[in-house]
Amino acid sequence: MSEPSTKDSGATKTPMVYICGECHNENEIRPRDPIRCRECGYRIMYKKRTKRLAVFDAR
Amino acid sequence: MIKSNKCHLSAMSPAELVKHGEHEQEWGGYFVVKGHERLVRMLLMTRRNYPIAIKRSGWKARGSIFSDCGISMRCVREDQTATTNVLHFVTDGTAKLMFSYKKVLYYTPLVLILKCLCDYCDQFIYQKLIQGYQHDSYYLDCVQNMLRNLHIENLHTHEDCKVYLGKMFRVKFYECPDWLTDSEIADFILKKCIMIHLDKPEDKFNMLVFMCQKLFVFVQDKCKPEGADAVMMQELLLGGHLYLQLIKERLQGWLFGLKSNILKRSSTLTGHLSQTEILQAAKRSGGLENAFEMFLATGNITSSSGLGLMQDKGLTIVAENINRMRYMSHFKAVHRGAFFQEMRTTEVRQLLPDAWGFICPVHTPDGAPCGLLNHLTTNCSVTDVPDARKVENIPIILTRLGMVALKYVASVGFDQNYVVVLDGRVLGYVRRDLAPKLVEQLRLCKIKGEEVPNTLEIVLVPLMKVTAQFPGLYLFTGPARMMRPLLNLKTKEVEFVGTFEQVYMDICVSPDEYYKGVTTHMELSKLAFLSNLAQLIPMPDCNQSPRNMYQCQMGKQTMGTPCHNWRSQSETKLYRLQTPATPLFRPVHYDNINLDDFAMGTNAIVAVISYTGYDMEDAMIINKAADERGFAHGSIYKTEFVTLEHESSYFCRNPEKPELAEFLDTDGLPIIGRRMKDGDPLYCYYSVDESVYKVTKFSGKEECFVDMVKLCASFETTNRTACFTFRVPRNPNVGDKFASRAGQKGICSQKWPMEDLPFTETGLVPDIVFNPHGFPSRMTIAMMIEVMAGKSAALHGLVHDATPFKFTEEDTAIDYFGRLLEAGGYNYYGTETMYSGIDGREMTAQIFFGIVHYQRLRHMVSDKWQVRSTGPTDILTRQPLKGRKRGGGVRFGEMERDSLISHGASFLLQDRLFHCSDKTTAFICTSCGTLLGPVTVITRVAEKANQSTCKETCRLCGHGRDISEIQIPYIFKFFVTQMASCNINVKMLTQHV
Amino acid sequence: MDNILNDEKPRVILGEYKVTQNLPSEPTVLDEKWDLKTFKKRFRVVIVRSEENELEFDLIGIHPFLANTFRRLMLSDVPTMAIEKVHILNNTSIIQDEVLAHRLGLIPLKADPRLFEMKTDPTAEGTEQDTLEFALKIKCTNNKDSSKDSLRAEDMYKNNNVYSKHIKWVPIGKQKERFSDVGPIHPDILIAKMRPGHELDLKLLAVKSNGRDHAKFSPVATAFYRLLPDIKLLREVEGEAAERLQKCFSPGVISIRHEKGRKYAVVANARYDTGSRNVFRYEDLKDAVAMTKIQDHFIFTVESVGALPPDVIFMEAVKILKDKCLALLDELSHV
Repeated sequence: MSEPSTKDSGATKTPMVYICGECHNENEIRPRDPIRCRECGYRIMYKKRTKRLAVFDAR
Repeated sequence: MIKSNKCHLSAMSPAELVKHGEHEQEWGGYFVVKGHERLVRMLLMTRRNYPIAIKRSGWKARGSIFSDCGISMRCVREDQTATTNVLHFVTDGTAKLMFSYKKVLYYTPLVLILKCLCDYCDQFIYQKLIQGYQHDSYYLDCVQNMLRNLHIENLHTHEDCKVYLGKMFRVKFYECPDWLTDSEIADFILKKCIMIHLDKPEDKFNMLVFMCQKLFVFVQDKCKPEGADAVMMQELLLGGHLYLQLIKERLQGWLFGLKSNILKRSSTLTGHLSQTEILQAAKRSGGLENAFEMFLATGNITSSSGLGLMQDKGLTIVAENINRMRYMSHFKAVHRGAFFQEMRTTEVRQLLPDAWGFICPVHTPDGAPCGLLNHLTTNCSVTDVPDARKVENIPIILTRLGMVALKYVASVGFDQNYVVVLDGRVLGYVRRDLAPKLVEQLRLCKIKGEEVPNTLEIVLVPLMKVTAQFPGLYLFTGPARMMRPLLNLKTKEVEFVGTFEQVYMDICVSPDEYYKGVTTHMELSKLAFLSNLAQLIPMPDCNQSPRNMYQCQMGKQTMGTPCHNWRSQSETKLYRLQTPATPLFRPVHYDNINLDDFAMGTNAIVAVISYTGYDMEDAMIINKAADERGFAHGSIYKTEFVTLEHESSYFCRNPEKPELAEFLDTDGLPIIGRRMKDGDPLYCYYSVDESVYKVTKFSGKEECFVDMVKLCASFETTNRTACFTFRVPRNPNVGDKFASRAGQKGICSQKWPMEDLPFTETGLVPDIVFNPHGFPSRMTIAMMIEVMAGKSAALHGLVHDATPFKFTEEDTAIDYFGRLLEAGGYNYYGTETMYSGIDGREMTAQIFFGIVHYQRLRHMVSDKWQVRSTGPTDILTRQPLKGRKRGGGVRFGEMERDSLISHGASFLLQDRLFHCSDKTTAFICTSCGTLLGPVTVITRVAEKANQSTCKETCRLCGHGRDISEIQIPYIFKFFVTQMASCNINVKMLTQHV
Repeated sequence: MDNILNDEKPRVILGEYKVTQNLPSEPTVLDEKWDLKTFKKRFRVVIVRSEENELEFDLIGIHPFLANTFRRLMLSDVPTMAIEKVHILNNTSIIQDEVLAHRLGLIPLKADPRLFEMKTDPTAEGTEQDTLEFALKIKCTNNKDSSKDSLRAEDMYKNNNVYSKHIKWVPIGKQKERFSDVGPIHPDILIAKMRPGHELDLKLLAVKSNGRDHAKFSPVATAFYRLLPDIKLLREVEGEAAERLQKCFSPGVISIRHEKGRKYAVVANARYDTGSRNVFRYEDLKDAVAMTKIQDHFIFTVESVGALPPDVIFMEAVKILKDKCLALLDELSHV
């Protein structure tokens, strides 16, 4: 479940991918960027699921 | 409001709605306030513009010699302004008219008002009042007396009366400017407070005369009280009307504010005010938006006039979306008013016969709101504002049909006439023998709906040989009345019928109830008297009636499919059933409203057998293998919002803390899909206020998964907001609640291994074991029918209709489904041979076995379990706190105490009430027997600085020879102290053991 | 009535309102004392019907406790392989992680459980002896080749339905040489529905366990028995009544014989009667039939899920019982 720790100094600049709630466009948003879709200006952004291991019991 | 004509969704087609993330079936009608769907609750109000004869004991207290009789009229103008006028009977034989202004009630002699309204001579007024009652000597006396009384007061003319009225009330009507004359103030009162639904003074005069006549007939017990609790005397307060009222009042307030602002300006200024200054004054007077957001968010109104309402709180409610049934029932709920909730009498809660077809007799909650919170039937509709042109037609048509207008009335003999009243305005008279014909003709016009509105309510209250309702022909066209469609047997067309109208009509339910020459109307369906939810109960006609009421409640608590747009939901809590199924035995209404789109419940194989003992007392056993295969699996979606406190704070993972990477992404928000435990970091943000990174931990007793994370920006604040949705798996557990659709609820008491459960000849193992003792006392025959129907449906690949009243005593449901079962090779009665899963022998009893649609209710142990060994205590009493959230205990009360005493379990009793509660050690002086005497004296031993000796002495005895230590409940010590404060000493006799 | 039924078989007589026992004079297997010699003498197994995944056989001359033991062992003690752990690397479909895992767990697997060992430590890494590994990696995309007109999901998208056939076996160690054919038994079990952009990336680990642990490990869809019904006509039933009588029982139980223009009912084959007892609904017929069940004749039906043939499942159950008995004897000898 662990992730190789990212380069710390750049952490604030690393963008995360968000999906626009209206036009489903993928946006890269940095922590201090305005929350807004670059395509349509919609202001609710869904965080995109990233590849991470999660173990589930099949019961 | 969603889907109002100002809403962008209003004109969208279902496909477009889905494209915008809404449900295709979205019906709107509610407001979204801070993420909650709120709607204005419908309230039952007194019918507008009809004088009701009421006997109310409370009225005796309104004045010195007031009686309990009165004629009350709720006057409503076209703009929905409402005020109530009551004509009281005073026991000295006079009548006083009550009107209210700014929530204060005033009483004036009726004749004073009559004289103020029109400049008529006393003789004319007398003639008007006694028209038709010339033989009632008591009434004649009273009228003469009332007329005389005014002259004693030295009020002789129309003008005298007006000046007097204006002078008396000037102080109370302080909004009126000083320059108005007394007479003008009287005009203002007459316009704003008395019979406000009528504009012309003559109309007001005539209506008051009619009320006076009705009052004196009523007082002499020649007609019956009507009472405001009957549905025929009621209409609805609609959200829009309330909203309009509120706007009107707010605008008025705003105008007053503007006026005072301008006056303030102009007092300091010489000359004219410029346009900009007027605009500024207008700006300063404030807006309306906040008041309305406040109203919708809280349901509270602050109003100077009270808007003619009995309550100022709880006017809006949240349309909770637990499942579709809950959601849709909100929109058809009508409340009698919060005022009645506290009333001791049960009168208002009664279901009266005139509610038939308008208010569902089944769908009302039990407990505090029983009978007050009702639901409209599926067919019941509420009238809209009628076409004014058509309303104007009515008097003309009436005259054409034989009514004598009021102005020509002097010539007719009143004894043989009915008064004709349209929306609280006396139009004229019609001969009694002509009236039925006139009504019939008018009804035809109404059904056509061309000349008169088809929502016209035509009430002919006939003169009866016994004392009954005050006779007359009353017509109503106003909005907010409840109406329902019926089949007019004469024209074979659908006619809308109102609540008052229905009382005097002859309606048959089915053709076999038709009486020739009597019956005029027929129900459109046998189910017309049931609400949406009641129509979803399978065969309610086969159940004991309270079971149907329970089912209406339980249906609303079922886990199901509340919505389809899960991704765009951010409701605080949403319940979801993973694999819902459509019931095999369901009423037609289920398909009519497409409830399969919002499915809830699962079809379970049920054996009605007392098998392990774990199924007693309404408990039920679930097959463990069925559970493991996914039976009734579900989850809860929980959403929380986080708004950062400073506008330039932002979400970000602390770069100095690499250990956070396990929990959070670089944006400081949780990883989607991650399993969250109590205490895990939930989010990390940079706080600008404190210039540090801060981490907030997740708190939740249960393990859950991060389902969705949204970053939200809004137009109101620039502060960053994040929305977290968690998924809490809630698969069935011991202690979870289940129910069939017949008000049969039960708690799962065990998950029983499949191999231990009994099995049938064909190898079927039940999913649910239901105890047969649930049947005899509850008499839920519908559930037994469902067992058979479900089985035969599965057997033949059918879905059976569970609409009530389809079977008769001759053609029973049991026989129908029994024969189907027989055709499938099963026992006619639905029983089967079973073999014990434990010892393998076949059972000697035949087991009732079949398929029942089971619902999983939202009450789950995971939300309710409570355990405590030690924990927080109350500061004052030192006893454990209550409440699950605080880690408190469950009350061990008097009844539990009695039970332990009767068992002789003294050790356990002491443990519960003493050791686990407020046990303390206290000193007692055994010689004087007091707890308060002993004090600890600390004497320092001189040589060593830190050493001191403690010694207990008794303050009362002056020595410490007899002091010993005892263990008592702290509350006892508290009690002794409190008694001491009342100067009572508590002495205890002690003994060494 | 008694004399007709007295044929040295232990029976229950199904009355209208009660069930009565009718034990023969000679000792039967149902008696208190269990004797190996008489058991051996009387016990018989008859295989009636054997299909690929279904087996019907009779155990004759056996005590109910023993018959039930075999049933219970087949349901809950014969082990199979099933997916136990789901490693989710990515799941952007609309089906929730834990629900997806649960669904995958219920997929029956083609793998002979006898060739595997039970995993003793559930937290330990799986080895080639106790674990099977699968991968499910699939992504839904727009189908560029499709014609524009079609609005069917199958034409518009690729991989819009995830089926069990998409699960790929990943052999560990020498598993590839040891086993040839491993994977889901049914290729067409729908696992999830997806739309373009949705993706599944899973690693599935299957282990061996039994039905007591979780229903997914049970090797049978169902395994049950019933007692052999025996129906005798006590008097002749003719004409319309004969047809009515025929309808009271399962098809093939009663046949109608025509003789000289007269038709009357005879018992053809009572074996497949479901015991509906509907004959008691007719006043005129209820005294014409004696319905009994033979108490030491068990008709077993075993429906295999597919991992093991049903006969093997039964043999495994017998083996488990034997092992259990040996273990018990072993324990007892140590007391």
